[in-house]
Amino acid sequence: METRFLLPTETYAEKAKRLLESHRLPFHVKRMTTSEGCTFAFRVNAPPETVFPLLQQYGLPFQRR
Amino acid sequence: MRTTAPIYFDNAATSFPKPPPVHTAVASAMRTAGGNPGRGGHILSQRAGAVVYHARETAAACFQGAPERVVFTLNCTHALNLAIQGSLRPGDHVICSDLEHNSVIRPIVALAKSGHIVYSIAHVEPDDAQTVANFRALIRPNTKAIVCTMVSNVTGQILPWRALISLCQAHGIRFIADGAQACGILPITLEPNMLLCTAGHKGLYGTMGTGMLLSAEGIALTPLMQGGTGSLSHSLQQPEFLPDALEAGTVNVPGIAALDAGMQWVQEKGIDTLYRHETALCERLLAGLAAIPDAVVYRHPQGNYAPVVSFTLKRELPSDTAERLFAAGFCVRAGLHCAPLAHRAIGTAEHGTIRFSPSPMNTPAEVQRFLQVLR
Repeated sequence: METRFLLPTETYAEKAKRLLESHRLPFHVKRMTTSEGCTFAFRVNAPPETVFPLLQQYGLPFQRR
Repeated sequence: MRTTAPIYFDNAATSFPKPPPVHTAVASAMRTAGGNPGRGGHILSQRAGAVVYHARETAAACFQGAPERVVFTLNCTHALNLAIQGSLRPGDHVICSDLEHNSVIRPIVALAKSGHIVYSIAHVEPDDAQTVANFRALIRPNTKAIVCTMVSNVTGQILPWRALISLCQAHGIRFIADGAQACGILPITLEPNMLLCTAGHKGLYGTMGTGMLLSAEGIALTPLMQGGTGSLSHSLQQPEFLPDALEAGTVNVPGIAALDAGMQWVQEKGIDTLYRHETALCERLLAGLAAIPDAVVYRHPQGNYAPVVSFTLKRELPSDTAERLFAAGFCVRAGLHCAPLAHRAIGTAEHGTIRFSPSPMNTPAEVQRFLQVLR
């Protein structure tokens, strides 16, 4: 199952990458432009109930996609 | 023209030479991470972003902060201006010490001259408790911050900054620390209510053109600059979250890579080990100066000092001593060291002092030769 979310800054994106890598959660990230400007779009090969609590625990202001 | 390499004792100005990993890091960043971090989706931008974030992590680990709250600046002066100007509002009162560098006192004086704030200057004593009492006596209901150096760049005196932080916390005041001469020299942790400003190019062994501002949780600062951040780019307003709020424009990626390597080098060598080496060199110098009849050393017997020594020779001006030393192959800085307040405090405002500031790369034999020239 796949989880998708957006992060607004490169700093948060780098933090998320390290977090996902340390928990061995495969992911793909792409920088894209949305109606809210430039953002980092993540696609994680893990269920939302695994990913979102982790992001919240580390203070990442993600937006679900 | 001198053909042998000079012996460098001016590390309080900037550290030299840099450890080899720092050179490697700069070259690597320029060769492989040449994109603009956070500004593109391509591999070179991503690599640059990874370099920058790794440096944030290293800094956060060094000072017990959070990576997102590490802001990279041009230098310590830039960090101090962000902290001071970003903290103070019209009507605020701020306290600083009488040993401050111009990077602290000039922004404060500028704000005061424009009528925005008022300020007081606390005298630093050899006795730490008395110094803290001097600061405490100046606190007013509208005191917003204490801004002070952790280590004097002129005398090397270590201020009682932990006690001053406690004083600030007890009064709900911010503590803005000038860590330029302390970071990489003394063990420092970011405390509540604290803003830590530092240079990247002194005790942390990065390149010139780098500095950092680390802020404790819950501290908000008004930005000095607005511009592109690669985030919330649809908005015409500066983001409010860190580090983007305070990092408008492109950051110095090779410099940040160097700073990361420098901080790691310090951690690997051990701050205590480096400190002991440099302190031993200063003690060797002090012992030698004690045997020179006209040498004056600007230290109190009761004071605590980092490895920086200011001295003069009564027979000649400090600038003449420095020139004589340079002719013999030694690099030191003579003058006011951009710290006129400190020189007024120690009575050397007219001609300044010669400042000796070694690094782990210096040797006892170099200090002995230095003393021979002085005699």
